[in-house]
Amino acid sequence: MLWRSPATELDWNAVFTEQLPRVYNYFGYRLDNEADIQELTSRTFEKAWRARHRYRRELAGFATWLLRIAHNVGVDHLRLAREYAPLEALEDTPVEGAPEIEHERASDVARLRALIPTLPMREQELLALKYGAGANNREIASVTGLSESNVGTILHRTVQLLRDRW
Amino acid sequence: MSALDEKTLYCLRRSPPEDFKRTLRASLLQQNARAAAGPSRLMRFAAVVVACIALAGAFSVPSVRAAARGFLDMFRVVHFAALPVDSSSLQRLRDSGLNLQGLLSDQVQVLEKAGPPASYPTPAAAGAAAGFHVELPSWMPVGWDTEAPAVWVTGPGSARITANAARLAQILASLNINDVAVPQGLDGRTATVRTSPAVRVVWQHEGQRVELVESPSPQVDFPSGTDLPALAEIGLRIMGLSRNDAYRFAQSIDWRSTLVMPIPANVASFRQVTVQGRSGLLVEAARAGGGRRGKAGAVVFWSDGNRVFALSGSLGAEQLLEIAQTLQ
Repeated sequence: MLWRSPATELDWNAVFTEQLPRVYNYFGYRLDNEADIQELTSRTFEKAWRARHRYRRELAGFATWLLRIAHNVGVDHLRLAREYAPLEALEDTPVEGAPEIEHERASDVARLRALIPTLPMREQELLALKYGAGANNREIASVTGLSESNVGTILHRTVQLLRDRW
Repeated sequence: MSALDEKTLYCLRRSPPEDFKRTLRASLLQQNARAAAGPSRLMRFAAVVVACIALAGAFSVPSVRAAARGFLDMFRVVHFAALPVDSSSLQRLRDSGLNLQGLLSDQVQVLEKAGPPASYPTPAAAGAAAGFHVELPSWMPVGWDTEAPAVWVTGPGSARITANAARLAQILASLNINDVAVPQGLDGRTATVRTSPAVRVVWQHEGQRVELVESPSPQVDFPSGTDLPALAEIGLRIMGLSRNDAYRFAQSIDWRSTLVMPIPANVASFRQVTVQGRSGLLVEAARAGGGRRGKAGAVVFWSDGNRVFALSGSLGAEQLLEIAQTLQ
C-alpha cells in the first residue's frame, strides 16, 4: 500500500493508480510539451496529498476534487505562460478563424492537436476534462462552476464545430 | 482520414510513461514519510521545559504576536522551546509594580538601529537587498495568489547589554525571591546582539492573511565563562517558577542555541512540530474571550541551522504547517 489516510479512509494507492492517467491526460489534452504535462500532473498529486485532510467525502467525489485541483494548477500555470486565462474570464473570448491546414495531417492525433488551439479557451478546457480526463458532464460542471446543462450544450456545439473543421 | 467521432476525440489519451509513474510515486512516498515523522523525544521534552530570557532584558512576557515579531532581536536560534507560563504568576508580576523594562533600559545600548521596514516589489528584489535568497512556499491553499505578495526588508541592527548585578538583586528582592543568588563576576559583563536583515512577506486573501518572516540567525556574543543556566534560572524564578522547576529546566536547555518562547497558558497552546525535517514550534493563539470558535491564528517557528523562519496567519495550524513544508 502506498499510503492510507485515516481521516478519509481513502486507499491512496488505488487513487494513484486510478487517477494518475486521468490527470495526466487532462493536461495532455491542453499541452504538447511532455515535461509540462508531467510537471503539472506531479504538482496536482502533491497538492492533493498535502490537502488530503480537507477532502470531504460528503461534498464531492474524490475524482472531482482531484480534477478541481488539476484545473486550478492548470489555470495558474498557463495564466503565467499567458496561454490562457481563468475559465470565468474567458466567457467572451472570440472564436478565432480556424487556421488553414496547409497539408494533410498524417494522423488523427496530429489533426486534432492542430484544431484544439483554434477553439476558445473555455471550450478547450471542457474538451480536456471530457475527452482527456474522461469526466462526465456532472463532474465537469462541479469542476468549472458551469451548470451541467450548460456543459452539455457547450460540448455539443464544440464537437460540432470541430467536425465542421475536420 | 477517419471521421471525427467520439472515439477519435479520445485518441489523445495515452498511458503515462512508466518512469514518470515510478518517480512521482516515490516522491509522494517520501512526502508521506516526512509528514508521518513526529517530533523527536528530545523535542517533546523540550516542549515541557520551562525557561526564560534572563540576559537580554525583555522580561515582560510578550503576547504570542509580539514574540513572533521580536524574537529575531535576541538570540542565535537553532532550536525553539516553549515556556508555558501560569497566568496567575504573570498577574503577580504585574501586580508587583516592578517596572522591569524601566529598570533594565539603561543597561541596553543600541549600536545600530534596524530602522523602519522598506517595501520591495518582489521577494527576489527583497532578497537582493537583504543579501540572501528568500525562500517562498511552492504551495498555498486554493485561491491564494502566490505571485504578488507584499514584501518588506528590515535592516541589520545591534545592541550591547551590560549586566548590573545590583539591579538584578534589587529585582529579586522586590519579588521576595531570596533563594537564588546573582552569579559572581556578572557585574559589568556585556553581551552584544547583532541581527541580520529580515525579509517579511505577506499574502492576503478574502480577509485572511499569511505572513512569513525569515532572516539569518541573530548572533549574541557572550563573554566566555558566563553562567547562562544560572542567569536563566533567575529569569525563570522571576517568571514564577518554583525553585526546583527553575533549576531543572534551566539546566536542561542549551541557552546558546535555543530561543524560549513564553506562552501564557490562557492565551495560547503549543506543540513541537517537524518542518522540512527540522524541529519547530507551533503556537496557536486562543480566540479573544475564550470563544467557542476555536483558534484565532497560529505561528510556526523553525530554523534550518543558519536561518530562522516564522510563518503566521489566520489560517488553521495544519494549513500553515503545509505551507511551511513547501518553502524552497
